[in-house]
Amino acid sequence: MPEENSLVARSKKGDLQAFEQLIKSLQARLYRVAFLLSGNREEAEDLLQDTFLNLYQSLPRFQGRSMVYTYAYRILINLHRRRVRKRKRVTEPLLEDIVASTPSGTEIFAKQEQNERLRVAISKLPPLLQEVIVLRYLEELSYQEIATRLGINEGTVKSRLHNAKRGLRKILTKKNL
Amino acid sequence: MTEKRDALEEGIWELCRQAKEIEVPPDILPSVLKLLQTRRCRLALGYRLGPILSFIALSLLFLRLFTFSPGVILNLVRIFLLFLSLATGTVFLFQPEKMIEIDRKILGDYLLKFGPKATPFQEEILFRVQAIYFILIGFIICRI
Repeated sequence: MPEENSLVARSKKGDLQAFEQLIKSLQARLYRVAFLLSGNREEAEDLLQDTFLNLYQSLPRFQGRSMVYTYAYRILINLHRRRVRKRKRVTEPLLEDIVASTPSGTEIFAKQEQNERLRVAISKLPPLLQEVIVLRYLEELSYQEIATRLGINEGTVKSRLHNAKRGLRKILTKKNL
Repeated sequence: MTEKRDALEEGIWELCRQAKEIEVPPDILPSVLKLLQTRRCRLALGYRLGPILSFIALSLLFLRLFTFSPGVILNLVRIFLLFLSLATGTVFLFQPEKMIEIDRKILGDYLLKFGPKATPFQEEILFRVQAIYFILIGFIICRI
């Protein structure tokens, strides 16, 4: 943590080497989240790149109230939401198109289809609920660890997870995904 | 109900397992740093030239609007004040972070005791609004 603080301070002053070290420590975790939300490597790479560029720009506004990872994670989520919204405005949702056109004859395709549907549903959850899903299932943190990370109590973590799952079920049944 | 919940959870675990198996492409970091370097070079040029060019442009424009008074000394004082307000205005407008730094030093004790009241973004806006105020003072000095 003290090392992270010094890297942030140096990055704020424009030290690119410090920023490189900082994003090196974040990239693997953020890339997995990007992949989980976008569903393909190219888009995940694009999303991660934009996240880092945005992070560098907004770092002077970062006041150190949370970890840099949490700050970068929120940038990534917002960018992803903006992209999905933009894509919806231009055409129909790409993922849903792909899902709809995927042949479901074999078990493999059916499984892939199911995964894509779930991925779309996760990316439609509100950010707060998405966050607990990522922390619990992707980062495999315990309720206690999630609570510490987010600065909330364990009960809130459990209720957010419950709401997230309820939200997912609602999206999956409503959209017949 | 339980079966449905389990299937859903199983699906989420499966998705996350897939995401965890993904390796980060090695070219992301160099491309981000390259982009930042190019952007920084461009920004640095704009950052250095922006205030100077605006100061010159505003000075030329305002000198054209300048109404001279009968006394020479009064005119000199007015021109000095005009340049001072334009210089302050352009610095406030283009480099508010410098003024924020000075402001924080002045308010150091207070900040230590109570912490900042405004976010850095709000501070920037405040100084940019003050920039307009200084440029308007310059205009008033011209037309007195």
